[in-house]
Amino acid sequence: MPAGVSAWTPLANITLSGAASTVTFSSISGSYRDLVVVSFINTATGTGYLRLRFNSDTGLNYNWVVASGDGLGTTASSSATSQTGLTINHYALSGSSWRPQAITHILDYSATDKHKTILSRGDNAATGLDMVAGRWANTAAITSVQVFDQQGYSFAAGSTFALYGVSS
Amino acid sequence: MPFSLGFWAAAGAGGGAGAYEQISTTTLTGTQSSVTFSSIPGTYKHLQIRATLRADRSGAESEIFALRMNSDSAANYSAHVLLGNGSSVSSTAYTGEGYIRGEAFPAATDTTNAFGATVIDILDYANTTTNKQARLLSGRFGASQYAISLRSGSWRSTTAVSSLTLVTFFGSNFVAGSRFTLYGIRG
Repeated sequence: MPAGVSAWTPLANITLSGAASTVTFSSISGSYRDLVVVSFINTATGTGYLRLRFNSDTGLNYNWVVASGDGLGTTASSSATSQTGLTINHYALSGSSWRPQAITHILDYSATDKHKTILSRGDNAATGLDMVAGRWANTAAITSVQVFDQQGYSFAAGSTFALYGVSS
Repeated sequence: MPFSLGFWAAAGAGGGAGAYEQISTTTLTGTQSSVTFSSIPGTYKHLQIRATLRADRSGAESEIFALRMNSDSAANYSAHVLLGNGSSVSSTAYTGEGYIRGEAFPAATDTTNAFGATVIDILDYANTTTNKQARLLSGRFGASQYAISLRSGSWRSTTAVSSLTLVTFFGSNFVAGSRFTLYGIRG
């Protein structure tokens, strides 16, 4: 990479003008090394959890481990296997004053010799924070990323989603 | 950009001359016992390593990576870790070690094609008046072992960091497909 050229490139930026149940980044170029998804939710109509899905794969191919804390003395760690999406924020998405958010790193997303490993940190200022490591059990290069609520609730207008490519 | 991510993202806006630059990258095509970024220029403010890792530790589901600065293997490192393993959350301190202890990652008997990942930030690496610190976000989801951790490591030296080396705790090798990239962030 030429000196002076940034390795961190904004690829897409979505701000909802109305409610939406799914946000999709599609036709993702394979020319980067990692992807970073930044989700900033302007509340939702329900109390689900924030999830990602890759290449429209709805199979039981998502696995994760989470460590969380609620600020009230409770910490917890759990894991999930063979899920239909990757949960990146385990705190409820609803909230009138606080905006749930997550920053999710998808490393080596375009490699075809490995499953895809995800590192994510999320929080809801009203309820707690967590960190997640996940694995999408598929060696295909990621060409699309969907962001959605686990229980199908909609993100409200004003929610923002950004996708960045990190060059190698 | 919808909101501030700090200097990481501001560096990339517009794709022009940026503050977040790749310094060096390597993707292994065979096994290698360690990976070193050497001759790191002192012209950045901070460094970041992004890596995906797998090891060939025989008969084991996991290996552990560790980080050294300037090839110092003396007992000059400490670390704190907050770890979730899928069952419980733990916090541990390590002192007087010869490396900053990293996280476990997949090895020989783990699920085929499973790799661990880490993002390591080394702030103010070229400062010659302060000891050096690193922050590591790491994780893996293996066949039966899982981990997500946030670690803070320190190297008790005021020397500017000019090299970074990743090694394995149990002496096995990183395998083909493991990828290590070093970035510099300008201040």
